[in-house]
Amino acid sequence: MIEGAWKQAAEAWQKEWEQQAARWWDATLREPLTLEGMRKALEGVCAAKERSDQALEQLWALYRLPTATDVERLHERLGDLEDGLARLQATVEALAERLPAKAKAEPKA
Amino acid sequence: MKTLTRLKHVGQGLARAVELVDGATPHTVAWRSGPVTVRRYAPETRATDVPLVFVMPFINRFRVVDLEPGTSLVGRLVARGLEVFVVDWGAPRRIDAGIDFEDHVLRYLPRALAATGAAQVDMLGLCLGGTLSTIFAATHPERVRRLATLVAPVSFADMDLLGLWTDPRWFPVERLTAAFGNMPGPLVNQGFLWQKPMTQLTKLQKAWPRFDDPAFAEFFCLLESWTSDGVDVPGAAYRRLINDLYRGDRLAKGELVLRRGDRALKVDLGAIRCPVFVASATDDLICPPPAATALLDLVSTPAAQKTHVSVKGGHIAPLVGPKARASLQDPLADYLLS
Repeated sequence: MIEGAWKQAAEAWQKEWEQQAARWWDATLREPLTLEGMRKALEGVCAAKERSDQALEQLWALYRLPTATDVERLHERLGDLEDGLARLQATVEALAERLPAKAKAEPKA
Repeated sequence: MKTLTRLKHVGQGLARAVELVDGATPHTVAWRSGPVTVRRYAPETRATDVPLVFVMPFINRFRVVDLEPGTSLVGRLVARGLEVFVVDWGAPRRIDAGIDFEDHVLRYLPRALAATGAAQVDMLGLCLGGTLSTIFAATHPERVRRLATLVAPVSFADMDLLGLWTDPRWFPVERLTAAFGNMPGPLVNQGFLWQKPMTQLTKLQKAWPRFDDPAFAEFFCLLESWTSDGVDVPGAAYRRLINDLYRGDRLAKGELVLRRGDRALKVDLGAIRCPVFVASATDDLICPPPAATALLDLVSTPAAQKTHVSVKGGHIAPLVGPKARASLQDPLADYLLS
């Protein structure tokens, strides 16, 4: 019986503690100071990535290997080419639809 | 002894998570291009001739809608006689960093629809997949017979913590996507986890006694393995999401513009006149209920053809958890078959 009461009290205490902590976290995560810290941390991560990419690109260039930027540029050009082909295909399909109708309207003499 | 039993159930759950990494329901690949895959789930007997195109969010793995046989959302829809085509955006590589909303809506979704072989489809979208489905339905109204969205944000006016954290003062989205190409999945995931840090801290402690039940342990492992297995988000689409939607709320304001070559296509949600089904979750922090239900006010659908279902709980578990069949999956199937 006493053990049950202790257990209940401990559970109630934990619940109360969790609620208090959740409220504290929620307020803290909205604080401009926290948000500024988040921005700085993200910019730090970006700076580290930029530096490591730069070092890798230099190494790649040393061995005359294409870098990620080179491949991305190539990919962009391929994308443009694909768009152009899709537009051409749409134009040809539209023309093909019109042609039989025109041929029927103007039978050969 | 209890500890060993619980550990055994967790071990079995983890093994199951590895086994079901490609989903629980048998399917074939209908179309694939780059990171995008359209998966076809065929029913034994078709209850309708109109296929269902189910669009996934581009920030998660698709398998959340097909976690395990007993609770699978896709599995349930197929069992009810629907032919389902799941649009899985896959895991983009750095070369896919240029994929943007235009690619999703004007390039990939029309091809996904072509893979169904039908002129008109029913469209269902989960979370940001629902946002994309809505944009597609607004720009191709003749192709969509019915639209259904599940916890899909349409109005980003009040996104609480996520809105604050994506503010231009604190969130350097341009620099992040320039540095990484794609937005790293683990970073995106941190944003969701930190919304409720105490829940994350105490989750395992609260789940521990419930691991006596092997079914609970399995579902817990499947859901957690999915949560921690986020995919990178294409840089261009992520910038658009943050700048146009989170910061500008342009979709709800009718100011979102899709561009393809010389074409500019304004997304007008008023162009949607088909029946619309919206599901929201009461305690959802990622898509608060007003963000999802805003769609019902913005479409031109007659009031009698608008359906809203509110489920109890957070963002995902109420849609794919053990109680989801009665609260969401069957009402959704009834709507799609009505």
